[in-house]
Amino acid sequence: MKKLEIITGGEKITSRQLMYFVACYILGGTLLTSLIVSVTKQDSWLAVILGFAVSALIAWLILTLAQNFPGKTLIQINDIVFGNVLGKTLSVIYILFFLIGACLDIRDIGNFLTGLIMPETPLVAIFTLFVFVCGYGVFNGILVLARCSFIIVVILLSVLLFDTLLLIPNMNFANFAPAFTLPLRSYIQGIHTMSLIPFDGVLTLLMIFPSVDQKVSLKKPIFIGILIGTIAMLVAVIRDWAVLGSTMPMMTSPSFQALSLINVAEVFTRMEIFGAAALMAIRFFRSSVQYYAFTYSISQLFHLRSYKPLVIICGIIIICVSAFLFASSMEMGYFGTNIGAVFNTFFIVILPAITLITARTKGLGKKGRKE
Amino acid sequence: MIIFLIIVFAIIALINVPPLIREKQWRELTVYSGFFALAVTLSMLLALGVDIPSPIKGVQYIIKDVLHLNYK
Repeated sequence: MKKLEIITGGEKITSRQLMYFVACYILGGTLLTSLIVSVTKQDSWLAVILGFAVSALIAWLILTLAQNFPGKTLIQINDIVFGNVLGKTLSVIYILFFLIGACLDIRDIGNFLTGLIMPETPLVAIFTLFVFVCGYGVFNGILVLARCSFIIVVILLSVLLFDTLLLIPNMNFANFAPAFTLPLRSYIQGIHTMSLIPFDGVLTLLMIFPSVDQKVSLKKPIFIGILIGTIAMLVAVIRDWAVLGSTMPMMTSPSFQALSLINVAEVFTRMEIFGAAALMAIRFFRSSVQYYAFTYSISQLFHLRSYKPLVIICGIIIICVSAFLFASSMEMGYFGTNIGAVFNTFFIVILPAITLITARTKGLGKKGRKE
Repeated sequence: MIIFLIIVFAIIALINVPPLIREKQWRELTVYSGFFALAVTLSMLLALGVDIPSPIKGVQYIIKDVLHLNYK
């Protein structure tokens, strides 16, 4: 308990902050819609809606695990359930997952900036500046990030609303025409990707729950957060497909391309940079949360008093790993569309399910003791 | 580039290490040194242009070629 007070200054995340936190995390996935449009094409909106239902189920699994062990982080749960050796091994695997998650998010921002705005800038330069800002957020603690999330959600939602209104003249809803004609396999892939990749942060929530006020119920804010995120993503997907039509799968950042078409009386043009700024803000949040989970879980693994001395050094590791993770953005696109969902399933669904089942059979945790 | 990296790492060490020694947090210092060494190694390899095998390649190999779970 004392350790926690040093980190958060005794203050806890409130239920409203948790809601914006989850919403903000999922909104960060609006850049990721490009992963599924090449697969589900005009029915992408369906994949987003059904993906939401699956995300809610996964969130329910993680919540059950968290409520079994109130006030414990993922690393502590592993130690309790699997004992010292196996628990620590699992924790190391999770830490690597957090590291790769942070790197993928940062790599995404690098690809976005070098691909569309600053093509001559080396990737490492962008990573360094971006990680520096994220590191500042992480150093100030999860509570500061949670407070930030409200502002970022408001900025992103207002940009989204504004842009969507301005794009109405460009929309053509005939683009959705042959609905439900794709093979079943495409829908499964789309739903699988949409439910697991934007919300891969559901695991980082397990590192954050101990900083949440224990009196509040966790379920409601998380599900409302998922709902807000999904509605925003749905609006983005429908808008982009209505504007761009079947050219959308060819683009690496469809939202950005759609915004560049805004032209209201030759006065409001080149609006895409607003969208880019909002996307950067939301990406900052997403990367910072992964970065925080990575650093904080290392400090928990070694039973350190504070994670703060590790922040800078972990940032450098993240920069280096992001730099050699993929050779090109094409490779990254292939990984995101075809392999990422399977990879995430292992960490987000299978491992927590095994942990929960083991805890139940051993009679560990809150519910086990009551029975 | 290498000299620049050495200067940067020296500054980081100067920021992080003295408070740890002052507060006698030896456990923290040990873990910190381990990760510091890892960060120095990775960034030196990167600066020297060595091809570091990507962990994603390994993941991709397992999922695609061993388990055949990938889409397309």
